[in-house]
Amino acid sequence: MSDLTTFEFAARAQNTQGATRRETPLHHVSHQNAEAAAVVFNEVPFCAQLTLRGSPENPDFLAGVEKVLGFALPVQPLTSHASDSYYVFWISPGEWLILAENIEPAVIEASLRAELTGHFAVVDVSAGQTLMTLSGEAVQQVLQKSCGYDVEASLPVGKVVTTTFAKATLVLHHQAEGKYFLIVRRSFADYVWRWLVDASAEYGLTVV
Amino acid sequence: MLHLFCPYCQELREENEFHYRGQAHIVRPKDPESLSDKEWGDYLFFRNNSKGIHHEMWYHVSGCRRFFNVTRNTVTYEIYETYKIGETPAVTDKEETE
Ligand SMILES: [Zn+2]
Repeated sequence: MSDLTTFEFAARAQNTQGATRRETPLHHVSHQNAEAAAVVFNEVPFCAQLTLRGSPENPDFLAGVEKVLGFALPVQPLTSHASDSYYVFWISPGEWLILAENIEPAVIEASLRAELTGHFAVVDVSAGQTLMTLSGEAVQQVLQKSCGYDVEASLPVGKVVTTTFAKATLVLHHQAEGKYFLIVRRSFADYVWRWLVDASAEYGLTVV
Repeated sequence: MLHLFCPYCQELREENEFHYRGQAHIVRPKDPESLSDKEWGDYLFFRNNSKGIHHEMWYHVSGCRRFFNVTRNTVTYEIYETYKIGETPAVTDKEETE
């Protein structure tokens, strides 16, 4: 082990894999505007993210996934399902995004592979994208500035859409009343963050 | 801005989530070796330029990333229907209107 292991890193740049320093796409982000903040931003560090593909018409596939997750896959367009351990989002017919904050992606992948046979795909995309949460009393105004999608009228709690946000593409999920998930590609994370800083300036933005 | 109903997401989205991908229902020849150069060239390069009804593919690139079909009027931009790949269009006989 090298001396690197003795360094203390911030929560979003941890020494989670032995001597290897690991950084979230937004580990460098901080923002002081806490007094009047009507927009609250958070990047959930090192969230497990897996893309699952398979046929929703295949009962063996559905049953195998249900055994691992503990609930049935959401097969209706733009729906999601969550438990204490997992969030699962419908992305496309036959494609889902699985998120977990407290389970290692390799563990999820291995349990899915153990249950599934035939034509399916599980890919660990944890390092390729990041989960941001956005809340606060002005969150809807900020989203309405940023999306062509009608967030106010068409995105009730529980719904998930892949859409454009500023000039990026992301997965937008209304997680709870007034709280949204933004799942964005690593290479777009800083762009989306800087857009949010600008779009939130008039309301006040804080990072938690 | 067009609003397109994605038959996979099952809702209307703005045009900037989509890419236009050209004429629909072009069938790849089963036995390309047996075609003349003209027939192969027609398959590869030549497309309808219809005034009125046009069946075309669109790609929901910033959404579900699926291709689907649209029946659109090239004069008025009216969209008569959108339908999944593999399905047949319901609107086909309005070529001579306008
Ligand atoms: Zn779609």
